[in-house]
Parts: sequence; C-alpha cells; structure tokens
Amino acid sequence: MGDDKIRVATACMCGCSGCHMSFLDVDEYIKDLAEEVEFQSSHVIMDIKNFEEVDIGILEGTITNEENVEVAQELRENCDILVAWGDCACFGGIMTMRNFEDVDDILEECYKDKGDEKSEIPDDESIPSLTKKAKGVDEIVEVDAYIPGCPPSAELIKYGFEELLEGRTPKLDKDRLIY
Amino acid sequence: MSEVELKVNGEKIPAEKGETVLSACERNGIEIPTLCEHDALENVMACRLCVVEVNNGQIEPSCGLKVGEDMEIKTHTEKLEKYRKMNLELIYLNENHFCMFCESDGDCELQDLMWEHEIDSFNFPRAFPKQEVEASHDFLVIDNNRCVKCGRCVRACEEIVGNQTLGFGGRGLDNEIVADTDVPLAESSCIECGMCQQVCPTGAIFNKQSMFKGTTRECDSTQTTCMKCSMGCGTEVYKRSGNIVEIMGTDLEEEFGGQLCKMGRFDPIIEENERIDRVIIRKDGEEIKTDIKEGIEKVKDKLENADRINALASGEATSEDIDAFEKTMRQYDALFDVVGAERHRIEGEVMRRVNMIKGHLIDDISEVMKADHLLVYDTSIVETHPILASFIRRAAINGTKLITVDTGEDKFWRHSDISISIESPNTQLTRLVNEVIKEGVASIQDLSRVSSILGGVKVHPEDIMTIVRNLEEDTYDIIVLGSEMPDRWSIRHIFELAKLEGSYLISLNKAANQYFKKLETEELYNNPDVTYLYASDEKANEKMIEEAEKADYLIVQATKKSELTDMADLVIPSLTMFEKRGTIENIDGEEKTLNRVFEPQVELESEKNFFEKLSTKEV
Repeated sequence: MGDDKIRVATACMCGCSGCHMSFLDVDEYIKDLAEEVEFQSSHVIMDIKNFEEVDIGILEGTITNEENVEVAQELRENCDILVAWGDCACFGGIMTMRNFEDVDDILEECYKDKGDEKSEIPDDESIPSLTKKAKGVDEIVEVDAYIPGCPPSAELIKYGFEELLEGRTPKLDKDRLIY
Repeated sequence: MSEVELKVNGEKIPAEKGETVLSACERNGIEIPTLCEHDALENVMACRLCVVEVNNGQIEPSCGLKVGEDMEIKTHTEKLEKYRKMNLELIYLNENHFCMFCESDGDCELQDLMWEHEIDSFNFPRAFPKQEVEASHDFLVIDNNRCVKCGRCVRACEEIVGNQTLGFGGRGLDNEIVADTDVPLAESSCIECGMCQQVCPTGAIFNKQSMFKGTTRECDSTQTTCMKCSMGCGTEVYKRSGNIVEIMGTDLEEEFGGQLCKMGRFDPIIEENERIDRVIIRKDGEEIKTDIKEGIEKVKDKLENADRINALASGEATSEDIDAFEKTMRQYDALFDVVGAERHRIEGEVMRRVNMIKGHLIDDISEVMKADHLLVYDTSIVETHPILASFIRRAAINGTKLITVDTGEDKFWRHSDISISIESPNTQLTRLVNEVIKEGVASIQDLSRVSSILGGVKVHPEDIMTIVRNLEEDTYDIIVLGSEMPDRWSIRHIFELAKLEGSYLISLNKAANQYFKKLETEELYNNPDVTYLYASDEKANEKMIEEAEKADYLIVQATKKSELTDMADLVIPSLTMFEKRGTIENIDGEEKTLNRVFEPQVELESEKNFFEKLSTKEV
C-alpha cells in the first residue's frame, strides 16, 4: 500500500449495484486507477464494511432505511468529497415510488398473510426499519458531486475519477449530463 | 403589420409590430427555451421558460409579449438563467418523473431542457402527488404522473381537431388532464386521432402499440403521404427493425396543424391481417401457391379467352398504377371503373342537367372554416374524411352556423346548431327546400299536401324552413356532401339548391386518389366472364364485394387476406401503402408524393410494372 495514494470508499445503499457494475465496465482503466487510488472499502471488490478516513466517498442508491442513513452519515464524516452515483443517490430514483403510500401500509401489503397465514411483518433488531420516505442522499447529508444516470455509463464514471484525480470536483456539463 | 427593429441582446433584428418577441427571436435564430409553446397552437404562457428581460429589467414571458416600438430584450442573462432553472426544477418536482422507465426517455422535451440547463440535483423536496394513469383506451394512455400541465394536448384537441375532448380537471397538485367530464378515455368523445400524443412534450400521452419499440431518435424515418382518404395528409413514418414504430403528421400549415386521424396514424400499426405473399391459384377446391411469372401467364390466359371483362381499381392506388391498370385492361376491351368513380359520374350528369358551372365546386376544402353557414348532408364524413370533419368542427366552434342532415345519428351532434334527422331517402327534404325557394312558403303551408308528397316519410316543415332561412341570407354558404349519399335524386336536389342559393359545394367520394377523374370510367357488365379486382391496399368495401359476387372468374390483387381473396379464383400479391412509390391526387387537386418506407415483402417491384407485363403488346 503506497502512502501517497488517494483513498476511496464506495458503498451501495438501497440500489441494484448497477452503478458499481458500470464502474467495473471501465475495463483496463481500472489498472491505471489502481496505480493512483487505494480502495479502503467497496462492496464489489472487498468485504470491509466500516469506513476509515478517506479522501473520496462514493454512494450509490436511495436512502430507504435506518442503516442507509447510518452509512451515508458515516461515510460523510470520513470523507472530504462525497460523490453521488446514479439517479437513486442523486434524485431518489425508482425507490421513491413508495413515497405515494404510507410505509406501514406497504409493509402490511408485502408481508401480512403473503406466505401462509402465519406470515407477518418482520420485526427483529437486526433488520433496519424503513424510513418514512425514500430519499436521495442530499436530503440526509451534503453531497459535493453528482453523476446521475441509470446507471451512469462507464465513460461518465471514468470521467468522474479523472476529474477527482486532477483535483477538481466533477460537474457534468450539458453534453455529458443524462439521466 | 409594420416592420420595426427589435434590439435583442444588443443586436438589432427585424420584427413585425404585434408579433410575439418569441417568434421574432426564433425567426432570427435566437433560441429561447420553451415547453408549452407549439407552432400550431395558441400561446398560453404556462411554462414560463421563455422569460426575457424587457427594457428596464422587467421579466416577461416572450411568447405572450408583443413586439413594440423601441423595445430592448435580453434573452440569456444570469438572472434569467437562474429563474429558468428554478422553473424547470419546480415543473419536474411537481409531478412524478421517473426517466429510467419512461417510454419517452431520450425523446422528451422536459428531459432535454433539464440536461441543457445542467440540472443534476434538486434544491426543493419532491411533491409526490398521487396521480391517475388513464389506460382504459386501446392504445392511447394518459399518464398524469409525467404531465407538465403545458396544456398542448388540450389546445390541440380544441384548436386543431376541434373535438374538445381533453381538458384540465382538479386544482393545484390534483390538477390533471381529463376527458370530457372526467370519464375514462375509452368512453369519452375521443376520436382517436392521436394529435394529443403528437404534441405532448413528455411521456404523459403515449401509444401502447408504439411504446418501448424505440425513441424517434433511434428510428429511421421516411416522409410520405397517407392514402386512407382523399385528404392525402403528409406523414412521417418512424421505423426500426422492419417495424413501424410511430406515424406523425407533417402538414404543419395553419389549417392542418400536423393532424392525422386514426386511419392514418394508428391503423397501420395495429392492423394484423395475413399478408398475401404469393400468387394463389384455386381450382376444384385446391389451392396452388406459385410465383408472379406463372401468375402473369394465368391472368393473360384468362383475359384473352374472355368476352366480357370487368376491371375495377381501388381508389387507394397511385396514379401511375391506376393509369397502367386502365391502359392494360383497355387492351383486353375490358370495362373500367374505380371505387368512388360512380359518384363522380352522377355528379357530372347532375351538373349537366341542372346547368351548373364548375365554379360552384370548391377546390380548397379549408374554405369550410371561412363559411358563414355550413350545411352538411351525411355526417359519416366524421369517419370517412376525419380531417375535413375537424375543419367543420373548428368552423362551428368559431361561430359558423352548422346545420346537419342525416338519416342516422348526427355525428356532429356536439357542434351542430341545427340537427335534422330524416328517414332515408332524404331527397324529399331538399326537394321541398327548393320548392319553397322557388315558389314561396305557401308551397309547404298545406301540411296535408306535404305528407302526401313524402309518401309517409317524416319531414317537418320547420326543418325545411330552417334550411331555407339560413341559406337565403346573403352570406358565404357551403354545402358538404358526404361520400355515402348514394341516390341520384338527393344529389340532384342538393346541387339544384346550391345553384338556386349561390352556395358552394364540397362533394366527396370514396376514392382516396382523385386521379381517376382524368380517366374514362364506366358502369361495369352485370354478368362478366372475368372480373379483375385491383384492390391494392384497400379494405374490402361494398362496391368491391358487389362486383366480386357477380364474376364468373374472379382475379383479386390485394395486400392482405380478406373476404375478397377468399372468394377469388386467382389471387395476386400487391404492395402496401408503405411499399408503393408514386403520386396521388388529393381532394384539392394537388399532387402528393408517396415514398417507399419499406422494401416490398413480395415479388413485385411496382404494380405499374406488373400491369405492363400483362399488356398484350410487347413493351
């Protein structure tokens, strides 16, 4: 581990990991990236679930439960620049469709009597409870850069890293922006 | 309008006093973003994206701001950009937009503007109002979640189609697009023209049959002409992987507004009849499929050995094809007719008899919108010539007095001022109208005499007087005759009426291509040996079936399987509207071009070429 490398942590909250898949689609660029960047945590390539101090934090997915809130807050506290990947993290995305209904009604509709007559809404300490509304990351913590898209293309993910490595905060102009 | 100079962003551009700042800027290549504005529609200043700064910094929507003297406009200041961005964001957040699974993703004016203004995050919370998806209709869906309330569909439905089906319902966040009095679209007065879908800037109104087949940007497109009625509307056909994705209207001139009807916009996508792809020879209950070469031999053989040949051409064929068909059939001494030509022959005869000059016939159907009175006989034009019907509705909305006479239901009932329903035949009504005009009211005052004339058919003297009174005024009156008026006497009385009153006439027939008027057509044999039915892409109609039933030996040339091809002894493939090339003549006598959208799926380069090969002479 080189000490002068830029440290990055990424996490997926309530999302499909599609943005991370797009990240893997950068192909051979990942080799160049690995020379300048060290991943402290990233669920697609390692199994470390806590965040240490990093330079860049990246979040994919919507905030829909208490764990997502914790992850977002923890990463925000531990990074200098926080980047939101994808429509979910930037705007709330497809998960916000549940905002039309009351969260308790949704749980009841989904679990109660669905498997057999004993089926009920899961209620255990280990299961994080749902937030009242599904939200984009910037409704919980401050976000410095947005790379929307569903998912953002590998090209945009790469562009984001290139800008960050040049010391700039990425901002997609009108020729690049696409959701 | 007088010319003035308008100062825009420090530069002087020529403009006309009274036009909008937006149109002056657009004409001079200065782009101002808009969402609710549409070339064919009135401006309503709903989206407020076209805001500009005027003289002292006041902010005004440019689509509603008229050009005046000494005006100075700024279109792209920092302040304006900030407001536009905020407006856009509020428009987006007010409804429920999910670009990732929207049918219009990549094809959406709202999305384009959001990208153009580099909106990658929001400064306001989203509203998430609960909105209806109206999917009761067979192919049109109104998803209020994606509606930006620009009102283009509402305006198009009224201003272009004159149908007034769509409107706004509810207030504030509950505001949505509704049909009639908030009834399901399928049960509403919607005529399925799809104009609302064509003008919708987002994915709020879309067609189930086209969805997810590709955005218009991913499709190839070809401009051609619709051949479903004699309006000959310009169309742009979008295709992808050999399928039609969408058909749009291209006649953007004021009166058309890019309009198409169900027949031109949706039917070609929905239609599913089996294609005739090879020559079919039927003999003694057996069916042999073979190639065109053998088909030609067979047709030649049959025509050469027949005494009485009937040749009937569809009105939905190109002028070139009809011409070649006529020429070839004449070589075999066939009698030649075109679907719809009979009506034209009757008209000619009537005009000679009543000594009428051609000037009474209007050759520009948009004139109906200028008429003071419109008398419509046979309201089936709503179905047969929907675009003309839209002109009539628009005229009625704008104050033209609309009187309809129909033997069945008045299909203009929502728009007609006076609706006269009489039992068939309606010849008596007009005859009495003529009598009153010539001899005075006294001629119908004796009701007993009226009823004796009518022979039991119910006609009210008030109806007669209604027509007389409205036509007698010194006004611009037009009489429209639908294509389904069959009887000679009705036509004669109506033409006489037009002559007496100095009214103008629009008389419709069933042919889409009016080119046949340049050819000799005649009544066909009653007991032909061979009938050659060139049905082309036209659906089986009464006339064709009537002629087919008379034939000893029946040759049918058609694109799709139908009761005609089932009856035929010999079936020849034909080219569809989208495979043909050539021209057609529309109701106004204009020549319109048909371009090839798809390569022919059958073994024919053109029908003209096929008929030339049938010719007895060596080519």
